[in-house]
Amino acid sequence: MANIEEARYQVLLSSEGKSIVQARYAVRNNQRNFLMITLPSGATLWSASLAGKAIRPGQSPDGSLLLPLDKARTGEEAPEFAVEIVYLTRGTAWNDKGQFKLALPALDLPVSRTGLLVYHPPLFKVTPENGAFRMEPYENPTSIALNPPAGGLGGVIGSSSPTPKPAPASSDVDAKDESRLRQSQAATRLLVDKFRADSTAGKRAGILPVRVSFPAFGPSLYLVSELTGENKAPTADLTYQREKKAGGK
Amino acid sequence: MKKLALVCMLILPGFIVAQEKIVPVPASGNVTLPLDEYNHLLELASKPPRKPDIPPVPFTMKRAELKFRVSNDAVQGSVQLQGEILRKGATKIPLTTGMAILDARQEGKGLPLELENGIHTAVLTGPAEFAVTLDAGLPLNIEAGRASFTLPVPSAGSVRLTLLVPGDHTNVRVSPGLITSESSQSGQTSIEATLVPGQPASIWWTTREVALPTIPKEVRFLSDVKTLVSVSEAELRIAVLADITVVQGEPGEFKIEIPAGFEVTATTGPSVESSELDGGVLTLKVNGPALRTHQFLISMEKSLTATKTDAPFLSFQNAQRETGEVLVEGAGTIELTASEGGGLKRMDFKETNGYLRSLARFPMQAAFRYHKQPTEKPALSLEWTRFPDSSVLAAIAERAVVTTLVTTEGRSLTEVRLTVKNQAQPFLKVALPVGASIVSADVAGQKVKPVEGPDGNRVPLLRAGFRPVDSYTVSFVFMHSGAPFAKKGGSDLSLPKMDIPITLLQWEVFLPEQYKVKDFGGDAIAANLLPPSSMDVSGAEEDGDIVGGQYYVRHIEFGSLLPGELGGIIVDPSGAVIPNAQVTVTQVENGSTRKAVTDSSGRWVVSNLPSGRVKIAASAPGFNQFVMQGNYDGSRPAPLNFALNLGTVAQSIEVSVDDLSLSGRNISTLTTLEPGINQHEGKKKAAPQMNAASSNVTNLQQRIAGVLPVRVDVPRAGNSYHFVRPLVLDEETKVSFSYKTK
Repeated sequence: MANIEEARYQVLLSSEGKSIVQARYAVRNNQRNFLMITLPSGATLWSASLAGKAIRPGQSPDGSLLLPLDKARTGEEAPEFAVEIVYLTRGTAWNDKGQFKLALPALDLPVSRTGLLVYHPPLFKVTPENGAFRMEPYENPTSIALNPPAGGLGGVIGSSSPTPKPAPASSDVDAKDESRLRQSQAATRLLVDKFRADSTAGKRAGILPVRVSFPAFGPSLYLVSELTGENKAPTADLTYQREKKAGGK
Repeated sequence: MKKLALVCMLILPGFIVAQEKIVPVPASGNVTLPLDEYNHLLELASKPPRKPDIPPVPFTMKRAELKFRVSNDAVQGSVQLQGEILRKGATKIPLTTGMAILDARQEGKGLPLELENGIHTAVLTGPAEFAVTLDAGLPLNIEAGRASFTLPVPSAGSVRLTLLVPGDHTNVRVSPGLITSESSQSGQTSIEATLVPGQPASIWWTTREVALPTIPKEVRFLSDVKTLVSVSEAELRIAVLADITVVQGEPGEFKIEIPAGFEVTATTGPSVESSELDGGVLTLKVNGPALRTHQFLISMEKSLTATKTDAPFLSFQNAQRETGEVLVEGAGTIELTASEGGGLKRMDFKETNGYLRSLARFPMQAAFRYHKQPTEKPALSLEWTRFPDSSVLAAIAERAVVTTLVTTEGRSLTEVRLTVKNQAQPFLKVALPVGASIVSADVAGQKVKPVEGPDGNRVPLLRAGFRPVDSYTVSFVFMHSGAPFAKKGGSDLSLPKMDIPITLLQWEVFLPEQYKVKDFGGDAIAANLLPPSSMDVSGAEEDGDIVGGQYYVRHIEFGSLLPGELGGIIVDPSGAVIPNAQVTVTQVENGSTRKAVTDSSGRWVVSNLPSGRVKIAASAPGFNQFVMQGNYDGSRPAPLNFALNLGTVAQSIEVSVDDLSLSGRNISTLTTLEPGINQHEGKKKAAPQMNAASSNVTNLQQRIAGVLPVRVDVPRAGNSYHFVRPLVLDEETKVSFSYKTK
């Protein structure tokens, strides 16, 4: 089974109609091979990562993204991990006032709670309309997977799995066997390290995406919603109006 | 002189010959010589002739070859001595001592020897080289389990011994001396040794130490084979990590059957001496037959043409027990189905061997274990669906900081400084405004030469050996000649199209100070129109006053802050970042503190900070302490950059602002503040300095008129205006304005 405990979106809207969206999902999984994400129409994927490690998602025949998921050990509670994508959408430029429908991706898993932080053009006043989302004071994510590591500056998390340390020898083996076991493990470790260093087999052709830092710029609104069904694309309806006080271009 | 030469020719030979025989009476006649020359000739003639050198030793013994064989209770053999007699005539040569000499020969002829004080001596004539062969015998001491003899060693330059003793693998010892080779054949052991010249050598061996031929035990071993099956786009790659445990015997090699169609790409292992593939069987020769464990890593691959295949199982021939694990991984996005048989048992891949898991690089698809039975043959069929890769971004500029200086003549010099993250893009394509040209460019601090093409300039982003894993700076400076400023009118500036997306562009424009500028338009937002809380740049002009500060702070970039975070960059008065500065953020309401230390880039950040009034204190050795109080809004975090004044930590500067978010921002004016004065006063004090004419203007004029140097900086002079534009996607950025003379 799999589910998404929390989804967090940061959206930067520009008055030229462009927007960049960073979507982060706290996923628990022990069976699913993929998370399928259907981006809003016309969106362009910029980057994707799984547990902090850049990945290049696959594309299903209908154009949805397929992100390969880590599976937890069966019989145990699946640990949370973060899936992140950043994408760009282009729409029409804003007028002095109007309505804006912010469409978010549809996932093939249900989402328990969603937080949406919208940075809007500074010269506009933006207010949410009634709908699935409601405005609330900002709160940090509750999922551990979505909170940045303490003291971090948003650096890259994750790396390839290191060579395991030798398992401790069981107590019932005698000293000679233990020594032999250690030698064997040390030799195996050397072989594995050399293989990993030398092997080009694992270096897949093609490029991995760059990790995109979200450009938080402008005033923001924080919206929340709960219980988004699977394959449902949540939307936030916003109205905007150019602020007279700030002047105009 | 001719006469003198004639006399010399006549007289000198006579003197020399006179040493050997009677000087003949010269023919009569007279020669007239000057007296000095005559006396000199007499002096020369009276010198005694040179005597030949006498060698320091009468002979040398170059080498000695001793060949002995032990038989019954005696040691018999020959001693061959080679040397050279250096003196003329007969010389006594001491040959050896302590041996029973049976015969002596020189060049095949008998050589009489003389025994003098126990030393066998020969009389040989020199000067000449000699070679003497002595047939000799020595007594052998036989004790219980041990035999020995003492061998007198001639004082030759080098002495070599060849000795045959009875018994296979007899353990012979020589002292002093060095055994250089040892072999055993036909019930005899032969040794070769180098002996110390002139020192008798003791030679002994244990008579019972005879190695019996052993019957090799039957080799029995267990194999544990861990297999990683990698399904990639075009190949099936196999990595096999094999652990062999030898329970009996001393195997010198292991044989593995390689499945048809696979090419072995590597074979390694600490004990592997060599490997050979012949007829589908890989033979691994090992260099430690006595070793009880062996580890091998064998990798192989075959090309894939279909979307299904059978996974191979490597098997060690004659293994007593075969166990193993199989882990299947898939490169890219694939949906894989694995069908097992022949005793394979499916397992959770997180329970597989840690070393096997560490070989994997792609998402794991399935895992199995097996214990091979004689009646079963493990089998694994794989079938998969592969999905194409989505396109992703290869490069991005997370920030662009642009500075433009415009002169009254309409010329402009613009520096574009990008913070780039790049995985694979080789060039940055720059489409300059018409009439503009790039005058300098650098990438990651190194100057580069842009390439000009019909569709724009290309700045090389990557080069041989340069594969950055993090962001780096790409900057270029271009010059553009526009229309000169009139008394009043309108003008515009534009930035080039660049083919990598820019998430946030900050543009500072310096315009001639004698003009009043208004009505900004274009794609970028004039910073003076932005509400304070929305800015993360400073330096906007507001009612004629400079609200920011000195320009250097503006060029320091800080990444985005998440809600609940507060952070920034600390610099010194010169604009250089200060690492290891201590920052303490205190919540005024409850006294709770969070501490941070600036990193090597002068950055600091604290997180999980609730909204409310906070006090920020920063200090670093050699600088005044900086204390600031203000209201923090956690939902609108903005970088808080500030400078520390030089001084002692005992002094401090305290500042109070209403809203820290509005600092958004660079509290750079603090560099000009004296302790005790407030920020607003500081701004006013700083303003005249900012508006002061700069010698850089002159420099710019010279640069534009003359030959530009390789490295070009954009001078900062005149009135400064700030613009911001998020999300610049391969498009020009334009700013327009109207002006009139003040």
